[in-house]
Amino acid sequence: MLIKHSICPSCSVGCGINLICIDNEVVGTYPYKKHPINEGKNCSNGKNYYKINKKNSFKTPLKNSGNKLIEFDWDRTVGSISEIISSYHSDEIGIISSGKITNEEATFLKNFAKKKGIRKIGVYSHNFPKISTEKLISNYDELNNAPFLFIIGDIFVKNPLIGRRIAIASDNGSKIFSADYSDTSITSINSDNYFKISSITEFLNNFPKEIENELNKDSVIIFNQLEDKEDFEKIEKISNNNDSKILPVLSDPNSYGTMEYLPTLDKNDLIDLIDGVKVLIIINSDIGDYFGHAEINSKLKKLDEIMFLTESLPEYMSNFDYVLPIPQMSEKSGTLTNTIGKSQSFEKVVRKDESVFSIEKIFNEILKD
Amino acid sequence: MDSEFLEIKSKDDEVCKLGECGGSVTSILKYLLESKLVDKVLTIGKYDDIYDGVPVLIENPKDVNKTAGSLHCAPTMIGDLVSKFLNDFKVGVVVKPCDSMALNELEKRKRFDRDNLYIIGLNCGGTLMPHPAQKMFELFYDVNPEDILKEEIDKGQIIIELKDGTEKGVKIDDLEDKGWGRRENCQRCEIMIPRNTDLVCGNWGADDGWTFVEIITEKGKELIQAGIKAGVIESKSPKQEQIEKRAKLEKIMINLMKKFETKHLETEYPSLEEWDKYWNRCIECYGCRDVCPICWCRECEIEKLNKENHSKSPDPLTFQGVKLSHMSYSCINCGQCDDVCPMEIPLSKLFYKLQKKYRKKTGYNAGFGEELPPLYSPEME
Repeated sequence: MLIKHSICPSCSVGCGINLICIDNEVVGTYPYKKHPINEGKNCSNGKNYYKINKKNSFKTPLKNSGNKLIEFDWDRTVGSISEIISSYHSDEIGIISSGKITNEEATFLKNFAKKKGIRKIGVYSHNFPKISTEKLISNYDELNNAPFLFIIGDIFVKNPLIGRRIAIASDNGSKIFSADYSDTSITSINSDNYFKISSITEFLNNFPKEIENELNKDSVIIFNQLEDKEDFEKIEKISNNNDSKILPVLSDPNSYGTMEYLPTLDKNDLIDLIDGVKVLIIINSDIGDYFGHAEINSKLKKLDEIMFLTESLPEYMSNFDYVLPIPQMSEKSGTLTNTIGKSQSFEKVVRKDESVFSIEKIFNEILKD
Repeated sequence: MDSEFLEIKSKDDEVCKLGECGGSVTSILKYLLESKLVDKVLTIGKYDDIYDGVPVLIENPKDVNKTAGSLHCAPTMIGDLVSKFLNDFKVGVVVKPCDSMALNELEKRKRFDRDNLYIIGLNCGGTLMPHPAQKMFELFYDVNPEDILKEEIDKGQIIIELKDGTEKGVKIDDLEDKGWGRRENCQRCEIMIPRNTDLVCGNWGADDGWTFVEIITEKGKELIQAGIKAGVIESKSPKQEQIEKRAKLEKIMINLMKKFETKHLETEYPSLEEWDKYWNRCIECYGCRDVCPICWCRECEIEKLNKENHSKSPDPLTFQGVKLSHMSYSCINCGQCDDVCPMEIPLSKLFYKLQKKYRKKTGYNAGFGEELPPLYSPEME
């Protein structure tokens, strides 16, 4: 039994988590109390991540044969993908990634696309742009003593370790206002004032004076969802008006980092990319969740070839031509950049199955042809 | 058996240098492995630095030296690790009082075979949370936490040793009056010398370079005698004044504890309105249940009663209330539930307060003895 430090891959906050390993297998989690971001506290998503991934893990590539996915060996899988890529013009090939890859893998993908002349590549960012604002808080501790926090989205449930900071701020006398679509949420219950909204964009267009009046240089606007890529600029403008700071809470453990290397795609960009290619490579990105499985399935059906590289088997796979397992976070080392731009390195916790190719190896094999 | 007192120290010069108070615990652990009395030892070691104490399982006696020395930024719990993952092995475990109480409660519930364990207790004046400890050293010691090589709690002070060889100490009272210092649970912990073990080691009353040992069980006595016979440790009898000094120190710590117990569980105990505020924050993450060494039901009643609902916090009666009814009579005040709660809910105040009331009514002292709590129903678990 070994207890090893790792970084929680369940969202973008960047919490530390200790993994308990026995015989090269993760069997549990243990509080990582020294970690400055979460001090040993983890949400259920973080604690259960390794269980879900273990349950849905697979080791052998799958190939679609007569609408059924059957096991296919690595060499032939990578060989077939190489042939497919060679037989299409680079403008007919698209790559969609997510923030669930490391900075090193994102760099590698960027270079691969450049070598192959593939320009239709990007990371789905849930309508957030690449973060390059001076308004961003530099440390989560800034939240603890902020006199006023304004929140868009249910941070308590979706990003509980930011929720914790809001609770601490509240205990310290901070005033909390929030806005969301639902009638009630744990964030709304814990707010001094709640705005039920039907559209984030409209709400930002007509931003209430009573919120704006509370914002000042020590306050922070926290948001984990946007409807439109222009919403970010609107929030930035509001924060410029009163010198307040912002905390955009991205979706994946390395959303911030991946966006440094790969172009960001909002919903429309993603649809354009899919509509504009014949071959699509999807990397650890649950695009079904972005639009709903029915909508995405109808789009994917029009493509000639779809390759899906993933840590764990997705529920919907019928449209994929090849599904390739890639190492899980616990099986590799690298760096992840959290939602406030802080990069953290993490070490391999367990050895990956020898047979499973890394992302680098898969694309290096393709580059050989 | 009646307790016996000894002073012991390692006969290995390197271990003496690495360890605290003559490196006795390190040598005992090495001996347990070398003599094959155990398959493994479970102790606490540095992961990255002195702020990062984590449980370490060791099979090779050569690796024991890496864990020599004391660590206070190690608010760990080993109860679950022993009962979940080490059941099939003979293990030597090094425990703080809260660990030993957790093991006692788990043993009563037959979660492991006590015969498989050598339980080596450590005197404990409390632990520090790593992140606040670093801030405390910056604020009150005016040092860069990275420059600290060692820390210790001695003579009512938290003392640090810096890279340049200098030492700085600040009175625990002064730190804790300002809201810093030890974890709250440690401040109100009643047990500094865990006598529910095979033997307890510490520096209270010991001569410099020696460990004061209280031998509790025949198993502990045989282990010490075997260690002496094998030439890994040497021993001497403490003088009466040393025994009295140790008892006096324990008494001082108990008196200090009482001050905090009153403060946490009475004068500053959360009001009903404050509890309502806390319950409204609960995100049903089950962190408190998962980390609690007393919670081990195969089927969790709380999960059955509460359906995940993200629009509101769970009903405190069916969530925390059911947990309270299941485990509070055995709450050992380890504080792990507080430590891991993402919403900073001070659950242990509630659970431990009820244990104290239960103790007053029934005489049941969680973490000690061989009997299960009165009215305990194993069918519940």
